[in-house]
Amino acid sequence: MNGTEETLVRGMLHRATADLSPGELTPDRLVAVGERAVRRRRRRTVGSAAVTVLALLGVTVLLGVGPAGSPADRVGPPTASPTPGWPTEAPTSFAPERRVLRLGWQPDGLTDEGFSGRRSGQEIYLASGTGPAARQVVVKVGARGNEDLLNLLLGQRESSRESGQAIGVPTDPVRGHDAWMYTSPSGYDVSLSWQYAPDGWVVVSARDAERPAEVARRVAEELRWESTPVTVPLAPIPAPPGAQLRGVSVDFRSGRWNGVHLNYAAGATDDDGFSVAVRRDRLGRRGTATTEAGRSAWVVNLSDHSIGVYQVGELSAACSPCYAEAVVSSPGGLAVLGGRAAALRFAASVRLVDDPDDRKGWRPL
Amino acid sequence: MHATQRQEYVEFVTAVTPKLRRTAYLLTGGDAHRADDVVQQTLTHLYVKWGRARGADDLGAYVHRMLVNAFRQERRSRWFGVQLFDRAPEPVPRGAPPGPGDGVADAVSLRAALAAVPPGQRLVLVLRFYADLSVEQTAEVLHCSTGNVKSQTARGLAALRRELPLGETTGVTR
Repeated sequence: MNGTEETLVRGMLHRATADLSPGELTPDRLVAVGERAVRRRRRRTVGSAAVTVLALLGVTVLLGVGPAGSPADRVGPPTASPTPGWPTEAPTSFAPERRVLRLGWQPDGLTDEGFSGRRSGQEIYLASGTGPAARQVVVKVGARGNEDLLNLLLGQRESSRESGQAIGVPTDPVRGHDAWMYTSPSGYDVSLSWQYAPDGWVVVSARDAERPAEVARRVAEELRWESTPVTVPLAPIPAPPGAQLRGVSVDFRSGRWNGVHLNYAAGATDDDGFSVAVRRDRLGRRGTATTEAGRSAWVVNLSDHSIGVYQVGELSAACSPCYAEAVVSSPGGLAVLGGRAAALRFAASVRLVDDPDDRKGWRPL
Repeated sequence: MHATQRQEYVEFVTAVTPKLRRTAYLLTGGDAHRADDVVQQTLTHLYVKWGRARGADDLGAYVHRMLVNAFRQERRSRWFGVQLFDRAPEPVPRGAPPGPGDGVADAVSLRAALAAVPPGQRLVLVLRFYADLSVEQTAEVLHCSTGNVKSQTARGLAALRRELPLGETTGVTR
């Protein structure tokens, strides 16, 4: 790296922070928060000593003394009777071509939207704005024993113990199920979590400058379990033999469809395979220009790793900036597709429905 | 905390908070709320440990290590951080003619390019070229060798070049 490049990078990083608004982290606030942390630490030390003494006396069990519960402490069955429409047993996996949750209520004005699903869990995403005005709602549902969700609960608990910061605390039940609320230090982000069935978790996160906890609570209370087919603005894609659909995501920006992503596995794990996506974006950000079936195309081949990106433009007159993209992420994926030329042909075979902006004409997977 | 120590702490955080916020802003991909959470977590932790921390040989590197730890912890612990499936990245505005609001668009494009750099390499780039830490300080903050910092820097720059040729927004031809 030469001095000129270093100067360019430094300048670039400084410009990248140019739009950061003044924050609210004043020294007074930091001292106040620091004092609270010190007091919590002292209380915890005293509390731990008291619990130890009681344990030594054998009284703890009789009195039921213990630390406050957190999701990680309660992996036992939910406490309430089953909610109508909701399963009494969490599925061991989800079918990617069906979504299981529907929002009964959502805050006004969230124009960006997304759904993603794979076998271990599904996510619904709503957002609007950027920077300080950003608002967001994310609903995640895990299959039974979803490792991502459980690990995160445990990680949250351990890291919070270490830092002495309050974590998810017991809050009002959700439809009769014990629930926990996590609030970020800034107060803008909250996460409300509960078990919809033994070992199956739902987490509703909200970011809102005014009332994130109320938003999360209402979304959670009006959430419905309804299995419906996932539809996409694509004509059916015949998967190559040996490939299995493992995940799907669809997203909208400013109320308009923006992209679809289908993930296929070619081996034992979800990472061994390839994906196909259609995006409303400009073709050819990187790689080498070429053509496929008379259409403009763009290819990135990483020869050492059998991975590559194969983009084909001119997808549809109804969506001029749209392109299709196949991404091969493993040798197994490349083998199932039949090699690099076949991967490019596969991308070129993807077709949009006649009017991709009309959701009524979308097709199930 | 004694009044003298508190005054030292106030003076220190008054001086470092703006730079730490901007560093966290780059690390979080331009999320101001997350950046403030990370910085508040860092400086709260520093307050609790100020009695010992104020005597550190290199207080700047010490605080950056805390910031990196807080950032990593925040990524682990946040529900928002769990991506069940890759979401399509935000389209990057590129090649558009100059116009009103270009400063913001430029900053957004630059952060998007930086966000596309793998996290470990991004961390090294930000610490070295924004926080102005030396190779040795960066290695200490990240608990790794100086050789690792150098190789991560080279890879990070290569990744950044792929996303955004370094002359593209500056008018400088490489």
